[in-house]
Amino acid sequence: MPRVLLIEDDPSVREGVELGLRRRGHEVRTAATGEAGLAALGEFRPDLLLLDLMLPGMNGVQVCHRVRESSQLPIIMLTARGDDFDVVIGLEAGADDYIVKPARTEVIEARIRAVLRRIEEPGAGRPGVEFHGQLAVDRAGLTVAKAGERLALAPSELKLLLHLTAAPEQVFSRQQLLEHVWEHSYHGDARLVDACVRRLRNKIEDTPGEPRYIQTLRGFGYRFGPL
Amino acid sequence: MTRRRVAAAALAGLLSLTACGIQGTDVVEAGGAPTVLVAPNPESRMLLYFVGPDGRSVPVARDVGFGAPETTFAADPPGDDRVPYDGFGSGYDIDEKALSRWRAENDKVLAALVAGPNKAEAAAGLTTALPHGAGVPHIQEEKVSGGQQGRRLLRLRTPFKVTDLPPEAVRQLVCTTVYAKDPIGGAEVTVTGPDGSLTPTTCADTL
Amino acid sequence: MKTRVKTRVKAGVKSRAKSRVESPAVSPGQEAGHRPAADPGPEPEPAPRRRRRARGPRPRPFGLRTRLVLAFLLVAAVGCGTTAALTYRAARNAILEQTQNTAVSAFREQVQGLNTALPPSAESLRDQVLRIARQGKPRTWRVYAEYGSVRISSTDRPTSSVITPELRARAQENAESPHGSFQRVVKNGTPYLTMAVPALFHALSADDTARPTGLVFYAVMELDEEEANVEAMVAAARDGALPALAVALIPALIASRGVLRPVRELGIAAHNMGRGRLDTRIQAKGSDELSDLARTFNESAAELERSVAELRRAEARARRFASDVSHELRTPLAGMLAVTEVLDEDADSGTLDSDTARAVRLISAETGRLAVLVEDLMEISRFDARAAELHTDEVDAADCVRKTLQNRHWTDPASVVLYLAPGIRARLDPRRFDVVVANLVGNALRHGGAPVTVRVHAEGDHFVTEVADRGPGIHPDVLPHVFDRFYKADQARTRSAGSGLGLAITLENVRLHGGTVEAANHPDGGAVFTVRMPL
Repeated sequence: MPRVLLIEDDPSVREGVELGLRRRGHEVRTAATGEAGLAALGEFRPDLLLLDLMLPGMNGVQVCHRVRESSQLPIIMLTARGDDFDVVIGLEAGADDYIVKPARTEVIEARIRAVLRRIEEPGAGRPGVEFHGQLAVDRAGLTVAKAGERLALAPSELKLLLHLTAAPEQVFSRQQLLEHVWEHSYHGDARLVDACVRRLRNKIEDTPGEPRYIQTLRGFGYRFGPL
Repeated sequence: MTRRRVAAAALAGLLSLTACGIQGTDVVEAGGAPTVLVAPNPESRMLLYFVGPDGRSVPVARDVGFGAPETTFAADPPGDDRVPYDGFGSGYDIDEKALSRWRAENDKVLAALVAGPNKAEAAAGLTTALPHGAGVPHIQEEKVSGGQQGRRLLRLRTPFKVTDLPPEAVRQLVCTTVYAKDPIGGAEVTVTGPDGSLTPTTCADTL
Repeated sequence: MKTRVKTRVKAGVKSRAKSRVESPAVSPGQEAGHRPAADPGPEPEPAPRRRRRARGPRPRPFGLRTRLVLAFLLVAAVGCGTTAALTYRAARNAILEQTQNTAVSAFREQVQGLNTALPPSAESLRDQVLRIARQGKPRTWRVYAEYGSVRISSTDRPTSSVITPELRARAQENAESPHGSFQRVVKNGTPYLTMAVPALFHALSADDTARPTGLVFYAVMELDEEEANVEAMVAAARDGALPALAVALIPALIASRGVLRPVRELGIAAHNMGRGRLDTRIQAKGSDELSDLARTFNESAAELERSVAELRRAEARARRFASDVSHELRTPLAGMLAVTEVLDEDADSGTLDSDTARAVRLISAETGRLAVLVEDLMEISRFDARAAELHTDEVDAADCVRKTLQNRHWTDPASVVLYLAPGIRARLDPRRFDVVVANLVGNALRHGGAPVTVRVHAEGDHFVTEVADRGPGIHPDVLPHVFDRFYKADQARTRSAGSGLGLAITLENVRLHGGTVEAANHPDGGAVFTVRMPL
């Protein structure tokens, strides 16, 4: 079962979520502040970080940045609906998904599973490593290199790239991507996709303003290539 | 909309005020009438009144050559041929001859009147209303009873009936009598015929 | 009086001023991601409820201006006319009197002292008449003399038809003191002055009373010259009055402008007030009635502005309170909701005694309901605070509806029938559209009867989503209120599955898209909700 680190300042939420996840068999460690959470990170080595955005002192976005400096740990933000501005900032900072409070434990767990789920391997017979321009995508090893240099991709970024490269030049609507990559509903928040694409472009494109690899088709969605 | 009616009335009034041009008028009296000189001289004429074509009395002036005696004089020392003249009241005498002559003059005026208009007068459309060929009336001075100053009464005795006379004829008689006897013309005349007397009138009343 | 309309723009007051009925579409770019409590800042003016005609000087045949000018002109015309008429009358009469008096006295003097026989001899009388005729004053006249049937004239006709019988009778009248007389006669359009003097004579001497001789002199003089003068005066009056009226038009226009400008400014100010610019004021100067009116207007406007601001503050307080309450409820709910599963499991495990298990289940269920209610309250608060964002995406409308129904497992063809036109691509916020469709279909399933029919089709530049049920329909009394908050159609059914905000949120979501939603009853029975949204 995954090890989850929960950083949440409100005791009732902290305790409730911890209790609910533990009952479902997760190993949960909690922290009341961002500083405490970062300190617990090295020692606890979680598989996933549940991060409240509204924290006293160091806030969730800052924690998110700090984590991304050194690791591609899956991060799910806890937020309240309406705090939309923070959601965008959190996503830009590198969060993979977010959950709107209040949420049932089953919802939280479903998200955790979705983020942690490995992308399904496409049919056999494909080479372990695909080359797209300067990009080398290793589906088996789940690594991506550009011009021989390995890129540090967050789980959502990697899954998105794998999904797009699996069918180059095919257009995916944002709703489709939400369903397949994030396992959200069709009506989910398309900003997840947009933020993830932006982050991905910053890492793989030569000039993020004029993307080659991940192209936008206005009114339809995104596609990989053509190069 | 009373105000509108008032405005309309005011406008109408204004328009009538400004009625353009010159309108006719009624007859307007303007000042006195002019006097003319009638020939011949008063001393040598007699005035007779005839009837004009419109029924009004119209005077004619006939030359008589001599004037009628205009003054009386106090009686000379007593003589046979002097009589008291009652025309001026008691105490005045006139010469019998002069008196008869003057009476004849008066009678002559009335005789001329009764004789009717002469040729020239008839040519001017004048007629007489008096009975044709009637006898000549003669004038009597009446005494004024009562104290009315300046009132003078004349009596005209006619040989014909007077009560049936038309008013034109009466006017002829009265005015001719007045101017024959009283040049001032203010005297009242009582016309008396065999059938009675008429109301005393002046010439101004009857004209 | 001078007035000016000025409008002070106060951004703060206005932003909360808009009634929720008039919520305009807010494009995503105009809204930053503020918290609901934050001041949304200045926003565009709400679309006016009614489109007004463009204001401008409109020619009105019997407007105030025309009437004022006409009244002014009428007064001027009456003034001019009266003056002219009176002047004219006086002048005309003066001219005529002058002429008449001169003529009559000249005529009398001519007759005075004539020598005549009675009856007059025709020859000498003719000489005299001709002599008098030559000496007419002020102009030549025709002279006639009459005595008995004698008619002598200075012309070739013995008498004149202009001389009236009245004048003749008056001249021959034997009054105590006979008079000269005259008469103006208009014959065939020509005015004449006719005069008559009876000739008198003294029987003996000049002291005697003059008596009529029966001889009457008449004179006839044409008054054409006088008439020409009078006509010249009329022409002069007319020629003077018309330019005077034209000149009077200028002060009339100025005066009407002076009166009408404040009226127009009042109108503009009232119009501005009507459009919600309550800070409109009029500059009121002077002490006339119109400036009084302007002051009254200003006082009323200030009072109105104050009351409205007070109301808005109260409303804002109430909304903020609702928002704050739901915010505060959310955190404890988050904790509670996370553990409901624990409660459910234990209640189902049979380890608890039955009462406790029921109580635990109740708490769990109501916590879930409370969470929905608080979420809906939050959503409504965001709409009220204009903090609701629209994240549009171009999607297939039919797909969108289908996915909504799939997500909620409303896929039984017996309960939900779909007629979805394919290929309608609409720009909308999928999450909000999902809420709209889910609320309408959910409502139809709960209160109406199966099967619920969902139709999607394009209609011009809009697409229409129609949700119809086969239930009893909506009572006409209820129909206007179905989108009200917490409006319960059936008072007995105080608790339904929904929060009571579902349709209100639906309405707000549709409006946010710039669309409309209507509730109606189908002629064949059942309620029909129709959503129209721009493509």
